[in-house]
Amino acid sequence: MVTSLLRVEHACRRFGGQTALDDVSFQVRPGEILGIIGRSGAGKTTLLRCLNGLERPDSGRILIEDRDITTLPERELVQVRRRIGLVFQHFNLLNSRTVAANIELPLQIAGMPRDKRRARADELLELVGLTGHADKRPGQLSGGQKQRVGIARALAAHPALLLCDEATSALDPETTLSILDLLRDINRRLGLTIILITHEMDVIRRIAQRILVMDHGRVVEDAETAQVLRGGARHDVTRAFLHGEAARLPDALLARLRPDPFAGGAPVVRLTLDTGATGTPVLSILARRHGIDATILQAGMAEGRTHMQAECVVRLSGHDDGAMGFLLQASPSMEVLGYVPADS
Amino acid sequence: MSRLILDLILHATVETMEMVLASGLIAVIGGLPLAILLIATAPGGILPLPAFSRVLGLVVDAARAVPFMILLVLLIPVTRLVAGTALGTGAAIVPLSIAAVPYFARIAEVSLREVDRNLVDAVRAMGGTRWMVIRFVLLPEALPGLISGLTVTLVTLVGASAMAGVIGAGGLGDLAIRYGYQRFNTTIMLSVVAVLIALVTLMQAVGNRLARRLR
Ligand SMILES: Nc1ncnc2c1ncn2[C@@H]1O[C@H](COP(=O)(O)OP(=O)(O)O)[C@@H](O)[C@H]1O
Ligand SMILES: [Mg+2]
Repeated sequence: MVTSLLRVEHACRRFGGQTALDDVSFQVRPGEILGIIGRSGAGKTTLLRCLNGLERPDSGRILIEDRDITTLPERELVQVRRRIGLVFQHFNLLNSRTVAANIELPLQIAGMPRDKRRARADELLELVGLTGHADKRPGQLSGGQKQRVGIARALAAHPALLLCDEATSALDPETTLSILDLLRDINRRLGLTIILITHEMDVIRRIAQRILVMDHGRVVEDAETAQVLRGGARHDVTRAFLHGEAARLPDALLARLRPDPFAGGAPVVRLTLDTGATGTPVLSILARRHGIDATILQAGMAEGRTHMQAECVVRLSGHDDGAMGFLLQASPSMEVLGYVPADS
Repeated sequence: MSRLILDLILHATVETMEMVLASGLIAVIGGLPLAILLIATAPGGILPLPAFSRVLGLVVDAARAVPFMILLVLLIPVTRLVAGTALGTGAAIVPLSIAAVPYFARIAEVSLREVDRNLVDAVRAMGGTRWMVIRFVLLPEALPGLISGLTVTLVTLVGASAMAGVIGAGGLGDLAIRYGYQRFNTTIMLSVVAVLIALVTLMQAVGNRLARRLR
């Protein structure tokens, strides 16, 4: 029985004097979306290259479907690699081939006959919303379209695991959202396990169920995303990433915002709420049932998965478990940004 | 211009084309694998063998360092062995090819090296073998550059083949020397130059168009 799709145990990797991976251990369950976040140079790409055997760790084990890939000879590694789809930041499409031929590449590598390949490519083009672009060259597509081709190609050989290295970092915010939607859709529809590497908290917040924070080659946080967003971050680096989000807040507020609760401190939270007919009057209920007042500090619209949502940052007059539970139900991606003096 | 002169020039042009195309073909057959070997075995290549790569690079450069005139003379025994004679069009193909192979190898190497490393990694990550990397990535992605490089090689070969005329190789160079230089026939001399210019211009135009179409 395979209980974890991927298990990394005490993986270490050094480049000369530089430690890229320092005793990294974690597991990935089948069907989940795991987000790995870290600053540039934290070791994310090295970890990913170890996961598909492009790089071998100096020590430790990496088990994919219960097979240790660190000791596999090159010949068998090739088989493991074909079970893993890879999506790149800069797409890495071949300009010498058409869009369809790019998608067919992993199948060609696996030795599938031409007519079957083409049928599969058409299927995938439909899945990623690019029907009719089969005979174009990658150079004729926009960045978002190129990444859709990259995703289609990664899915071509029915991988057990999809690895995305900064897959949205070269894209504008709007295209990023559509690509993240596509990934989440694929995760739901195909039950495909996805590991997503990024340096943007926003990406994690939008699609990752679990978050792994890397710093100087080490995993410093391994938690449910919701828990971290609720203020459950244990490490400073994690808080720094959450704080980076808060950078969009007004300076006057930021100056008073502190990461930890203190006596007389009022929590500042970010809520994402459904609008229109489907939405509940969240702030009214909060006041009536829980006796907590919410002062809106900032508000705007955000594009949700299926419809527009209101995104607002509010200061609460108190925070008991009942109230927080209610808010979390109304806004699953709720995030405690910090605490400010109550009288401000 | 008399019919005779026209015939002479036409015949010489065909001979030149024979020499250039034959040695050009051999330059590709010999030079391209050499170029692939050079970049594959270079540090960070798909089959890194740095010592081997360095020695191979030295051999290629040594061959390129010898001036063609000297190579021509040096190679006379080899030419006799391969072609049975040191004279004529067939014989000239031997030194021309030996000069063209390392020349094209270095030019092709540059084009191959310019292929995005990430594309190579991508195919490796998909479970592609080294051979698949060469076939699906390196060659097709470098093709426009390889065509341009081949054009440059062929143009250079036109000049070199004219030089081979000095040792009686036939072709346009031979004609210019025998009639133009030794018998002071200016008409032939100028005609040969005109044909050479036309030939080179045509080759360059075809090469450019092909490379652009593939890009
Ligand atoms: N091939 C390599 N040679 C030498 N150092 C490397 C190599 N790859 C990565 N490193 C080093 O390892 C560390 C982690 O790099 P990387 O995994 O690319 O980080 P990230 O993807 O998080 O930005 C960096 O300090 C980087 O300089
Ligand atoms: Mg990276």
